[in-house]
Amino acid sequence: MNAIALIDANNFYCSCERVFNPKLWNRPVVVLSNNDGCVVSRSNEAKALGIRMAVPAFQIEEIIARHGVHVFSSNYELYGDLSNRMMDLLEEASGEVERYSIDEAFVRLEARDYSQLEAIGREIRRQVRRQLGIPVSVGIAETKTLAKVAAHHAKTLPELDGVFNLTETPYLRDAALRRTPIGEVWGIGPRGSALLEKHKLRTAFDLAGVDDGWIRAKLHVTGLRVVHELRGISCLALDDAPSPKKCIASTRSFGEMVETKEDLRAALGLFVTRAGEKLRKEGMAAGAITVFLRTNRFSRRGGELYSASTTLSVAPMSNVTTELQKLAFQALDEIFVEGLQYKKAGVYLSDLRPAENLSQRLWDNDQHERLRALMERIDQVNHRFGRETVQCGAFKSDGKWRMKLTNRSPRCTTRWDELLQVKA
Amino acid sequence: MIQEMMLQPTIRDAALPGGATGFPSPAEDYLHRALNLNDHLAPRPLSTFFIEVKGDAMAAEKIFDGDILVVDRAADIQPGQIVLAVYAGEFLLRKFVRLEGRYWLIADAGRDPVEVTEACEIWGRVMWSLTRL
Repeated sequence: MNAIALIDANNFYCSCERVFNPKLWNRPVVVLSNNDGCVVSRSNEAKALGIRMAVPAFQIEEIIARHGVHVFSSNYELYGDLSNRMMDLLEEASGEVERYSIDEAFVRLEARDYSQLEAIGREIRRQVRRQLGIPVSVGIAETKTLAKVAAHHAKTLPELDGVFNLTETPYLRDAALRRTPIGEVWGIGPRGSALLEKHKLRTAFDLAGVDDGWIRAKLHVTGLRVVHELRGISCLALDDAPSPKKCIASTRSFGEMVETKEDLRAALGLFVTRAGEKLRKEGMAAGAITVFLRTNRFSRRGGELYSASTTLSVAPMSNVTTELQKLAFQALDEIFVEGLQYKKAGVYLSDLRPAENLSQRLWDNDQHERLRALMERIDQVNHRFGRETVQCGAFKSDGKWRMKLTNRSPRCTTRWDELLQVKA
Repeated sequence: MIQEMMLQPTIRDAALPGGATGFPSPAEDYLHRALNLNDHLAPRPLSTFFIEVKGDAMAAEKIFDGDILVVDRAADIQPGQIVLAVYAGEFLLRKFVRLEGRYWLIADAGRDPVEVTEACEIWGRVMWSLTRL
């Protein structure tokens, strides 16, 4: 039988910090965004102290001092490298992997029966923990939307021990759906859930039971798709994701191998354009951008599997395509290797924050505003006349923005001069 | 089963059939990539990390201050091998040994041995120590 698993790293940034710093084990840890000092990742111990997501650090100073909470600035190079290792490990386990965000991937699994599916899920969890030191939750189901629900429960219910398999078990599925508030259903969004709650639909279980015609009238075909997915009818293929909240990805496997940097630049430019559109549609701005490249697993010539990614901070945060493209090209310069045949590339935007409450940009505010206004017009034109009527051109990179790095851990997997040191 | 899949090396191209294109080169059968030290030192790159040594307490094992260790988290551990372990919130660079049916982490230079129990986690196996001459 065939199923989809969502592999979701637990408290990913905090878990990355812990791999190389045993002092943080079993201690409360938070990671802050570099731009505005808001909490972007919390260990379970930090959650238990009542520290909420996205709260500015200055508001929790007292809790930090009283409980000895370990506080870090984001170390995106480290998180990006461990993410890339995790994704490569998953690609070795399954030929079909959709990198959904820096810390989540959908994986196609094939197994003889229910218990073998579960065993594979457990083995994936064990291998990621053993090889990388990162704890993950695994949700297994017939559809992506159900896999999301399963992974959420795998993460929050300790008795499941990190793996929840909802395939072929209607009673488990119904129980899980009853425990899932409508606002947490993947692909519904805040507006949709407000509307559904008005009609007394409070859980994913309620939503799965609605009439097809009714949901179609209310939430169009996307809403109908969610309902079908909750019933176990797969409507979303891998690489076909509804708009996420944490991260926006734009990736693609190339039809033909790509070899030159110019071609990759063109592809990445387009990916950033796509991702930028999505970003602005959601009213968000990004604090980090990841670029990844990989060659074919089975490339006949050259032999070597090359897979690399790099993550750069977007400082100040931005949703302007040209600014994001500049960083994407800079990332490409770092990881591009001449003479290989590239099969797949992509861009993720993460550390997303609503664009309207960004902290003030310290300089080039005018230029940014002009660019932002331009972006809005481009989006309008493209919306009216079809995609990519107007595109942003490539930029030459002229110097990097440096962000404030107060308490960043060493970039010990990407810089020789920042290696982890141990006492003999 | 899946574990085997995962631990297999990822280079499988040699076995792949496929039509050759272009002119066959007489040297083709003899072509090989230039040696790459990564292949030799870190055949499992996903689980391999580089770590710097501070101090000379493992000099008897030829691990010296300033060396770079190649540590594989996924390698199996046998007595007699050098490991990076975690005990009481600290990394320990030690030799893993078996004595009278119990397992210990030992170093030279008068450090207390630590028994391997639940309270102690093996982080990875030290595969190489690179000393600059």
